[in-house]
Amino acid sequence: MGAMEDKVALALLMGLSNALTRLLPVRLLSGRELSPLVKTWLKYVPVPVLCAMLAGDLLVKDGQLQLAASNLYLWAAIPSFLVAYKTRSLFATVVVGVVSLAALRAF
Amino acid sequence: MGLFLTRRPFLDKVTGGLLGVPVPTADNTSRYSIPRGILAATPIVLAYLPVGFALGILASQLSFTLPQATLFFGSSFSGSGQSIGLQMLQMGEPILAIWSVTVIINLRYFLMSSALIPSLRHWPLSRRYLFALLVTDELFALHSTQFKRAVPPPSYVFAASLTPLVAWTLGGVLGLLAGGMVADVRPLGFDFAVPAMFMALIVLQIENRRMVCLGILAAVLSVGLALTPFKAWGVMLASLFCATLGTVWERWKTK
Repeated sequence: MGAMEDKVALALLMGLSNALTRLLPVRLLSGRELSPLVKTWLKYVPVPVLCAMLAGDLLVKDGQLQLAASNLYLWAAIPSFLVAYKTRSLFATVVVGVVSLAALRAF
Repeated sequence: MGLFLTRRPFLDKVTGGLLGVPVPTADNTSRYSIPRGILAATPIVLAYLPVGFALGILASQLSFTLPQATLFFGSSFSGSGQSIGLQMLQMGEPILAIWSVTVIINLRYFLMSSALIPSLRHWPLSRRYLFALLVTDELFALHSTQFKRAVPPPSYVFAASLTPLVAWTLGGVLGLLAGGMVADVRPLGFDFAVPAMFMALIVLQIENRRMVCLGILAAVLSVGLALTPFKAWGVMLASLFCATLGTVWERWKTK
């Protein structure tokens, strides 16, 4: 249970490091033309980042792999993915995902 | 290839594209008003309010005061960093240890910011800095999908960026005020908003089979790393590796 100064110090430190990691690329990538190689590389960043985060959300909890049928996230992922694939709508996918999980939990 | 280039989405037909991720073109700039930007952020708000709320409850158990919580939620806009920070604080870990873990976790924002910024070179530098400051996992997903086609006007982009920050801080403060009075919000299923959103945005970003393969590989690698002591590095290392592999692959194929 940290003291008051601890919490303020932590909030400020985290705010500072968060800001720096996000701002540094602006400084580094501004004012120069990017090489085709870098452009290609940056094109391949989003999909792996998103897939890596999604996989962690779905499959890992408390440092343990969750592949059992009791992992409701895996079940809720099926209708969500189908809706995402068919409609390509962010909103529809989120609604179906949240409702599916709530329904699964109700049973 | 055609597998991923589907026809006009059903829901877009019904709603006139209102609820999907709009595709910027020269003739539909009126669709990029501030309210539309706020609307584009609704799925993120749906996810952030309950998560912020749950973290606010945790903060109240750690006896954060209202100004402390507002500072904490408003300054470091990072769900995973903050939840791990709060949990470590609860375990009584020293501040510097907590901070260094959150720094490693948040290194991925360096990658995200790098990927988004080149699309904004026509913006003034100060505006680019402000934009980068507001990047989160979910906003990165949204922006990177939109920027692939065209960059919407700044008012729209910032409306979409700021709305989730407000929701995040508001959720946290409400959770803090509600404290122990409220039961767990998990049964409602809102914790699935972020995974569902990632799914939709991955589908929207896939351009070719190569990206499908890299995405699957990144998922496997990050989960593998998540089970090792390097778990804080998982997303970062898996993405760096797969983006590099994708570049080499594309170069090699087009030679």
